[in-house]
Amino acid sequence: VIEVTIVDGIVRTDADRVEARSGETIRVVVTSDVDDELHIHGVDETAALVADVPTTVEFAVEEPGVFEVETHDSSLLLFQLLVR
Amino acid sequence: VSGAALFAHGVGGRQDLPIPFELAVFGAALALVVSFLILGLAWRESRYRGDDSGRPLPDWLTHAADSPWTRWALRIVGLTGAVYVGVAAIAGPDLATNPIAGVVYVLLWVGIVPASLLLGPVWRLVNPVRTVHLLLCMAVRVDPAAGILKLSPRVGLWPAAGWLVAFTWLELVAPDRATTPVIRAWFAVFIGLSLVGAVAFGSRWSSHSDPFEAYSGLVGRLSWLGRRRDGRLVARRPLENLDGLPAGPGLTAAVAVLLGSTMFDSASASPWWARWTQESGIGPVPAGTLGLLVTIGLVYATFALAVWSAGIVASVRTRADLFAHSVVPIAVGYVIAHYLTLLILEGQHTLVLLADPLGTGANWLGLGGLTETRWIANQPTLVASAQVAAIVAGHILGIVSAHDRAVRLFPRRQALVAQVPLLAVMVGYTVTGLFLLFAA
Repeated sequence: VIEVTIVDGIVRTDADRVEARSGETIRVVVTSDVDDELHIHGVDETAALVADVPTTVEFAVEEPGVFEVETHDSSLLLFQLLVR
Repeated sequence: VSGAALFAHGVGGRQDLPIPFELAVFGAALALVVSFLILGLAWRESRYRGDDSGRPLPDWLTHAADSPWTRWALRIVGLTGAVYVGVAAIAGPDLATNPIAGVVYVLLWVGIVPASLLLGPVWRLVNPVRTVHLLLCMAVRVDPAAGILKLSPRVGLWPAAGWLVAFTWLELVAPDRATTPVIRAWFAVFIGLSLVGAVAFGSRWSSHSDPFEAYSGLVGRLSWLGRRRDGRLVARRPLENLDGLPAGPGLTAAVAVLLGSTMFDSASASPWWARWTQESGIGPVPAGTLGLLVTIGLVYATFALAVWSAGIVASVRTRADLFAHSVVPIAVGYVIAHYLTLLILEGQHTLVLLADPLGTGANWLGLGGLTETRWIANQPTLVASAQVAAIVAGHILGIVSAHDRAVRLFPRRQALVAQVPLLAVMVGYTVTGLFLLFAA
C-alpha cells in the first residue's frame, strides 16, 4: 500500500520511486486537500479525487518500465512506479 | 477514460528502466580505456579528406536524386504531410488522441535521426517551409535565392542554435507542451519568422536558421551517403563524411544544444528533479528553463574550454567550431540511448493516431488497423545493452574524429598531449550520460 497526502501543493509520500514486479497488484491511497484527478501512466487509469477524502486505487502494471503517478489539475508528480 | 485523458507533460508517460550499475561502470571503463588506446595507437597523419573523399555511386543515381521530378516529389510529400498534420492541429480535438504531439516530438524530432543516418541531410529536401517560400516566390516571379538583405558570413548556424533551444524548450519545458494550442502557437511563430527570414535573406536562410534542417544536417554527416565537392553522390565512411562538416560559426552552439538538451531531458525525468521543482517554490517552468539553459551552457563552456586548452598546449590558435564535429557522434549516441524505445513504441502509436486526425472515428490511410508491437518494452536487458552500446560507440567515434582533426591542426610533437583536454571532456560527457541512464 502506498499512501500519498497532498497539502498546499506539497506531496507527502514514503518513497519518490516505488518498485514493483510486473503484474503485481499495487494499492494507492491518495488524500488531496483540493479536488483533483489522479492519473496513473502505464495503465492509463484515472480517478477523481475529492478534497480531504482518501481515494483508493488498485491496479497492476504488466509491462516493465518507469511510470509516473500524478495529479492532473495541479500537475504534481506523486511518485514514480518502477516496474521490473 | 483511457486515451481520452490529456497528457500533462510530454508524450508517452513511460520511461526505460534504469540500467544496471555494473553495466554503467563497464561502459565508462570501456570508454576510458578505448580513448587512451586510440590516442596511443591511432594514426599520426590526418587521414580524413572530408568532401573530397568517397567512392562515386553510379551516375544515374546522382541524376535521379538531382532531377527536378524527384525534388518536386519530395517537396510535395513534405507539404502534404505538413497540411495533413496541420489540419489535425487546427481542427482536431485537443486530446491525447490527437496525433500532433506524437508527430512533432517523436516522428519528426526523433525520426529525423535514423532518416538522416540512412540518407544524409534529408529534411531540407522535404522542408515544407522552404517549399512554401519557393511557391510564394514563383507566384510573384522572384528568384527564391535572392534576398533583400545580405547575410553576414559570421551568422553561420547561430540562428539554428537559437531555434534548437526554442524547440527543445517547447519539447521539455513549456507548460502543457503536448496539447494542440501550445504546439500550434509555437509552430505559428516559427513558420512566420522563418518565412520573414527567407524573404529577407533568400532561401539560404533555412540552412542557417531551420532547427530541423540543422539537426538533419549534423546527423546526416554520420551517414554512409555523401556528396563530393564536384556534386557527385558518393559512398564514404561516416567519419570521413563528418570530417567534411563545415566548421562555421555557431556549430559548437548547435551541437551543445543537442547534447545538453538530451542530458537535461534525462536529468529532469528523475524523481528528485520533480520533487525539487515542486517544493522549492520556483515552479516547473522557470526551473526547467533555467535547467535547460544551464545544461546547454555547461556543455558549450566545457567544450570551448577544452579546445582552448588544447590550443594552448599545442601553441596553435584554434576555435571550438574546428572540433565541434566530433561531438556530433556523442550527441547521436545519447539520442539513440534515450529515445530508442520512445521512437519504436510511441512512433507506432502515433501512426495509428494519424488514421483519425480529427477524432471522428475515421480510418484514413488504413493506419488505424495497425497492431502496435510492444515487444521492445518487455526486453529491458536488450534495451539497457543497446543504450550503453550507443553511448560508448558515439564516444569512440567522437574521439577518433577529434584525433584526426588534432593531428591535422596541431604540430606533430604536441598533437597527442594537446588532445588530453578534449579526451577528458568527452569522457566527462560519456560518463554523465551513463550515470543519467543509471540514476535518472
